[in-house]
Amino acid sequence: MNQTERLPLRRLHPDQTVLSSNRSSHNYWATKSTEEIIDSLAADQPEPLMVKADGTVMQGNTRVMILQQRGVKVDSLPRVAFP
Amino acid sequence: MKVIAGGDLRSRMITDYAAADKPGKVLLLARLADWLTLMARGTYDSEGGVADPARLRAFNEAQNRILAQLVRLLTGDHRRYPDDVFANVLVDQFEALQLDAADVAKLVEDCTTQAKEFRRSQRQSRTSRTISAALHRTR
Repeated sequence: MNQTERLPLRRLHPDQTVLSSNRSSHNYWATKSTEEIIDSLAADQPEPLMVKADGTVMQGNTRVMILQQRGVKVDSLPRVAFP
Repeated sequence: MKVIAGGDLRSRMITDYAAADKPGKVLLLARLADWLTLMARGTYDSEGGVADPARLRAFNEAQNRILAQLVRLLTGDHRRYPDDVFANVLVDQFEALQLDAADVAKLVEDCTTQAKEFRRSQRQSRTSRTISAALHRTR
């Protein structure tokens, strides 16, 4: 496990940004099951969970937010390192 | 810039985007992304820096969504937003950027016209090839 995987996730976009400028995407993912969202964040998916070394989420913010709202421990999800 | 009048453009975008065929969607997304890079230059200052970083950030977010969908479309990847959802995603971005509804509507209209011309020219090319082949066979 590298440093990126150990640090807790910090979303790049606050809740308010997701719910205003990205609300259609949020509404879409909110209809998906927790399993589907987690699967979509996997490394072999088109838009995997991509995280900077300091834990900042560079891709997957909306999906991570929904998972957090559902009580999923997002820090343990597999990550792709942001280059 | 005028704040976009959400309802009208949203319903029009959903209708037009869903009705467009693949080349039409590709053209629209490519032109939107190109146009947004141009609009984003409005955030620059005159000394090589950025006068409005928050707005530049919003432009980048919009382009990220548009180009991701464009790639999925070109690669035939079904793991993309459904058309109606993505049309709403687009309008969310336009609203966040407070883009002029008339400018967006004109761009969509131009793309629709261009896509029709593209399809017509393709049909003409196919017809010409068919006639040439027929003439060749009769010689």
